[in-house]
Amino acid sequence: MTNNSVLSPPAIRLWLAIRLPANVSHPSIDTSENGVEKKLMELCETLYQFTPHLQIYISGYTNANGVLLEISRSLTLFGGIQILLDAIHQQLQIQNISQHYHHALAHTAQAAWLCSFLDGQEQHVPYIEQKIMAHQPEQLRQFFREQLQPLPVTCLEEFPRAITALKQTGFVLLGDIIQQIQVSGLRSFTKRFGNEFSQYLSDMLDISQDLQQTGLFSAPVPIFHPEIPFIERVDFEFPVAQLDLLQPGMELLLQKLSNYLQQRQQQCQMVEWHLISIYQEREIIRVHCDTPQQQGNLLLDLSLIQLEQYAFRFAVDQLELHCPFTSSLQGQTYHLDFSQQSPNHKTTQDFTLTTAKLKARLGNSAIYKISYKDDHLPELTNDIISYHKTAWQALPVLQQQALRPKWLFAIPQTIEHTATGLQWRGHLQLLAGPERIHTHWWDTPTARDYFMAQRYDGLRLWIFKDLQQQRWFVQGVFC
Amino acid sequence: MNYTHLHTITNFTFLSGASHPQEMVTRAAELGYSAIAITDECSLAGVVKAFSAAQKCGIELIIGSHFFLSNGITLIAIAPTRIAYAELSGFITLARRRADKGNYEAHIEDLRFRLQHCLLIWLCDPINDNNESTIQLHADYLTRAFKDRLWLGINHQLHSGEQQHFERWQQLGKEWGIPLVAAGQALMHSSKRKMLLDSLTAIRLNTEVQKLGTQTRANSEAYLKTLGQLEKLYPSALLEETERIREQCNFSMEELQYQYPRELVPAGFAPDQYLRHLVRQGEQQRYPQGTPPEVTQLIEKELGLIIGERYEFFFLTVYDIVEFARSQDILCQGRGSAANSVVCYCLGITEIAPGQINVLFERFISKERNEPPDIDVDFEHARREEVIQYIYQKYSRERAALAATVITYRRRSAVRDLGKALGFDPIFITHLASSIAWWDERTEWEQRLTRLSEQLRESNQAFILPSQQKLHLFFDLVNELRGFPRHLSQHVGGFVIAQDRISDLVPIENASMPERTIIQWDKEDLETMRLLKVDVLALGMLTALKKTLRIIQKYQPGIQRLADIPAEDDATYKMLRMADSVGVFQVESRAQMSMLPRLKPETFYDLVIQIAIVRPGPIQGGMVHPYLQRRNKKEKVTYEHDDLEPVLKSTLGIPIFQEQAIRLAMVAAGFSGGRADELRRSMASWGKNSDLEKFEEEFITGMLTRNYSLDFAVRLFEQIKGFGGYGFPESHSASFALLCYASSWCKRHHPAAFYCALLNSQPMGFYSPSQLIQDAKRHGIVVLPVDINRSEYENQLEKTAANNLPTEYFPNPQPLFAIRLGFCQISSLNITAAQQIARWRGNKPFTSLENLSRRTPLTATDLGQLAAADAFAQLTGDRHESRWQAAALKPYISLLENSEDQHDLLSMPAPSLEKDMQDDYTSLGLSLRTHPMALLRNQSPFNRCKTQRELASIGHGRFVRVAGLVTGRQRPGTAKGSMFVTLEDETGNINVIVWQQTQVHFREPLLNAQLLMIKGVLEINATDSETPVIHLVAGHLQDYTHCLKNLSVNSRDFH
Repeated sequence: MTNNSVLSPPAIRLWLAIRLPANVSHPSIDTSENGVEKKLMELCETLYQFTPHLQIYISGYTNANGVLLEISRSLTLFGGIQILLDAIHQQLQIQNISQHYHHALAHTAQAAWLCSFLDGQEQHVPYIEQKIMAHQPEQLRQFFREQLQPLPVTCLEEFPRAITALKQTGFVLLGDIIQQIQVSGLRSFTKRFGNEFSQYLSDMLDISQDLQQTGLFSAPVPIFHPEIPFIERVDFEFPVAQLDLLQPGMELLLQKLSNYLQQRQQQCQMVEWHLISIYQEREIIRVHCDTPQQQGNLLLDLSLIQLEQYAFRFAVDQLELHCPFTSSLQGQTYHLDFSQQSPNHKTTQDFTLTTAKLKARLGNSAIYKISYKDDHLPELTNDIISYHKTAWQALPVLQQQALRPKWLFAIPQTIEHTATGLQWRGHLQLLAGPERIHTHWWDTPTARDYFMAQRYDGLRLWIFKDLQQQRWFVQGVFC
Repeated sequence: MNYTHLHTITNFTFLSGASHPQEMVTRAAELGYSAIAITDECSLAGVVKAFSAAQKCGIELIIGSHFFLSNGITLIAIAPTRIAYAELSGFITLARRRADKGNYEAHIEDLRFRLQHCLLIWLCDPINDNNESTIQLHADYLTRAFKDRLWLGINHQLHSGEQQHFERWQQLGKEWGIPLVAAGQALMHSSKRKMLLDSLTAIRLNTEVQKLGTQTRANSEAYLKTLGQLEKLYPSALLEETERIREQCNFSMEELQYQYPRELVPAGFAPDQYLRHLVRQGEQQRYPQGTPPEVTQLIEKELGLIIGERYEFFFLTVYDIVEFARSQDILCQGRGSAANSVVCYCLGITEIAPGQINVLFERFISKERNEPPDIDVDFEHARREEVIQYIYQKYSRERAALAATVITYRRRSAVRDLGKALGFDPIFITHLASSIAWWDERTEWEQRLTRLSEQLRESNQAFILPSQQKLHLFFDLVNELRGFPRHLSQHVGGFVIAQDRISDLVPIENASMPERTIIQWDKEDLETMRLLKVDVLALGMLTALKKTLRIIQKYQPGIQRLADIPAEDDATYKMLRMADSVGVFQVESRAQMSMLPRLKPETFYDLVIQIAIVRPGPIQGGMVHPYLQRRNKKEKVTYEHDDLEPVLKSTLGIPIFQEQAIRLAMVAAGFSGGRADELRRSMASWGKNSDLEKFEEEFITGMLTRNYSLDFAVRLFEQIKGFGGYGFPESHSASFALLCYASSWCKRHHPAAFYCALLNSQPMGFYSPSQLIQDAKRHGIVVLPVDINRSEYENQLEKTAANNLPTEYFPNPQPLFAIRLGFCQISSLNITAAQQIARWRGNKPFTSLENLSRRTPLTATDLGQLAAADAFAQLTGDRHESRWQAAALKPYISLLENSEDQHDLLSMPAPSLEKDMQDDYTSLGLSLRTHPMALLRNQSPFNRCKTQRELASIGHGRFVRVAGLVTGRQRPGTAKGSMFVTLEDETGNINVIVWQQTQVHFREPLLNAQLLMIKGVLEINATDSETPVIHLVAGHLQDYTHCLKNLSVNSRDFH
């Protein structure tokens, strides 16, 4: 009696690994962490049509990532492995990544993933198909084990310590590990490298303790649940082309969005309004908010501001609200402001609305901030920065204590130095000084003596003598 | 107008001041100031240097310090008297000791009670002092505490609003009756240092100058101004007030007197009596048959000098330390002419008997100079800490402290810090720093830098290159910054011990090592201040010799102490003549090795010469060749004048030792002992300043009046100049020669014990353990690997049947010993565990790894390290199996039954030889298996290279190629730009000379390669020696490091 006959053997499974290469420079693949996850989710959604048994694989050690598909249950539907593979390839072509992926088949998800690193090795699809059809799981397992053998032990990247120890003990290829299991079973790995590593080997090879003993229990196959984005629609009784007529519909949809977000403990920063005519013409208007929202009030205000500027090309028959991206509410920290009435909260809301109005009317680039910039040279002490950046407002003590005018010229004005003295729209008389500034030797060496001067009419000016050019300038005016 | 500058921050306020104390003082004198106060922040570290400069310039120096108190007050404390100086030094000590190294914590409460004689200048800070009520509170406190010792310091720097602030402080002064004084801060001696000042600020704040903003100085006014400029800046009353402060200052650094510890003299003895008593006791031990009359005479002369100069306590202090070491069985030896006196011989401080060398006692004790003698005592490096702790315990931390070493900027560190401060790209800075070789001159460095910039610019690497203008600024700044002090560190062992508190003399601060304190002065400062310093130094060779003797006495009980080593052994000298000196003290370097066959030492005194002659002094003075000619009887020994014969006879008429230069000055030029010593000190500082030349006229005139020819006088003075700062004293050389002879004898007659002890004393010496083992193997010593069942913690001798000692070299049967490597060689193994393994093993060897695991508490990591070092090879067969089995062992194994299946065989094959070697190097830093070159020998291009052994049979002038591991790179200053590279192959060491031109072409491989193939011309000098001296003059170098893969070989590079 063989081990296999003790319990009924698990059904044959066939996994397909689709691996996106590391550091691919394809424009369609955003290689940032969030970008990769998003891309893989999109890929899963695409591949969902072939099998519901999908799982994402993102390596924590290398940049490799991809999707694993269990396809044994889809073979009949699609008429065989090759046809299914071709269909998947075709779909990936549509996704524009057909040139950038590696794929491999194996009897376990882990083995399929590892086999995807066997570049250029033929997998003999007809042979695999034949073994599946003939229901010969042991031969199939043996076949895939042989496929795995030439892979280096370094491919077990999730276990870096085990890899080092294995290499130091003479293991070079996965074949060496398989050979060792043949000699002393999985136990020898369990006691050296721990249960987790041993479990991985067991899952990868689909064995229990040794190569003859198939895994007693099949691991459940994961089922992919595609994300359903928020899309809600209202139909108007008659086409409308005025904002005040659209507004009730918008309020209704935003209320639904609020309920949706609250139920899922989510929030969003962007919504899309789809305006649809009776002829199915469609206009999309995106509304962004600086801070994530769960309630629809601010989004409504911002939407109305944006739509005020909008010239309706057609009368709107249907209005859809899409919210494609949401984030978890837990990721955000809040002040404990139960009333929501604190002055700060109110100011922030007002400021957001005001800036949103300005941005809506003038464009993003028209809004900026002025910040202090720490420098000895007066004309370099302010800086124009983007609206999103934090301005430096606290002056250093040195600048607070120093004699500085309220009004500084961006470009110092030339003073005439005549025989009668200094002239700038009138005669100047020095009152206090000098304050010497001698700096910027690393780019444009500057040496100046600053004075407070008074014009004949009583206006007090901040003037300096450029010690290199021996010329006088007005830097600012005391108010 | 008279003016005293009262607010000077030098570069000893680290990374704040931008001028040396000497520069400040010299500039103040040039400007015609009456005096200058050095007021570094909570520090007196720069005052001695300022004092030396002030003496030279003839300007008065005032000692003070600048403090930022914890309550926000900024002030300067000035020491007008000796008592005030002690207060100030004590206050700095207090503030420094309560904070971490480099910081301080000063409180106003301490100030009031501790500075009862100091003058205080309260500095007005226009930026921070804006709270009127706080100012009033401070004014109230300070006037009550310091009454008429308080001033308000006005610091005009042409900043905004100074005029208003001045009026405000003037009002405050009137209100509280505090006089105002001009106290303009100087951070630079000249305003030209502004760029450096800003760069130092950026380095201190760890940012770039461009990002400093208002944290830099707004202008460059913090410099020493002319009197005319000062008159424009300050009202005359404020300037005159500086003079009133100066008039109150009567303290001079010369007043700092030193009291030696007195408790060493037992009751009933006067110090001189006690010293005589001890010398007498020692005499009886040294001369049991009775002291020879000439020695008695010498003792009396020396005691007369010592007692006359009141140095009894100094000798007693050194004696006490040496006695402690002896009582603890710590090997030690004194050095220096005072140490090598007969008195010290009798006191047991030295083993150099009178007559062995020509001691010039006047060198260290001179009546003309009130300067203490300098005795260095070397102790076993492994046990020196015990001596240090004894000193602390005996004299307490208040009375004993280590001298400081001032860590200064070198070119590479200056490049790194300034590059960062100027905002250069980190990659560019790394390129820059790594492209600097220690020998580069400024011009070639600048050229290289420009070339590097161009190359990088062309290579389009992803970083920003600085502009040409910025690079020029950078050059200048690097050169200015070189030599600037960076921080204080502890001296290798210079102890200052005093009768009273040391902090009365010099502030003490925390060192980075816990429980260590250092004074704020370095060795040069102590010498200038004539303070007693006992050098408690660590010497690895003493440890090695002690360990060698301990091993030898196990099988040859007659050899227990250094004194038991037979003197003047021919076989030992023969070995040295063959340049077989790896591991031998002082003569193991390559230069010494190539001199040995030429100098052919036959006696102890030859070793004294050998050690001293291979030094920059004699080499640059052109003494080597004439000496060898005379020694080899190719040139007649003559003397210019009969008077010179007693001075130069021992060195065949050629001056080799520093003492001879001094004696020549005395004998030939009529210098007094003290004046001759001044000459020695000038020689020591030759190169840094031109002090030496002031003796030239006196020297030559003196010789001419004694009927020497002008030509000879000039030539002799030139030779003395050639000695420069590198002449070696005979007294030091003799002490070293003693250890050199002892180590040579051990190597010659007990090689296994010698190498074993050397390995157990690492780190020390010139060669790595790997190189020592290669040499031991070449001497036929069997070296056995680390073995769990045989090794101890240290390397041990093990009886063995096989011994490959060459019969022509060791004609008498040697004890059959092999060296068994110990667990100490496994660098990453836990020391405590390593020390216990042999105890756990006892007499019952471990039978398996499971057995080992059950009997010892070794952790999984320990077992892994032992397996990695192949220490289980005898139990498991190979390293793979060892690691496999070790990985399976768990700490809870003792709970399991024996029947539990623990043993599952590994199916992997044993590692290859190459792999084993790599693992040996990784774990042990050495391999007992085949030499890496032997592994590579069959591969191209190494199969076409000659081995070291083959070189001797190839003719002189032949073109050959060799390859080997780079084990040493040297570029001595005396070699006129040549570089010496040592390659090690499987048969020995190959000496390569790389001329300057070749260095330029093959710079990269020369600096970075671990495995080099060199083509060049063979130079064999076999004319006048038993052993030919073989060199290869390199023509082409190629880096083959990639062939070594993971083999890591440490080269020893010397600056």
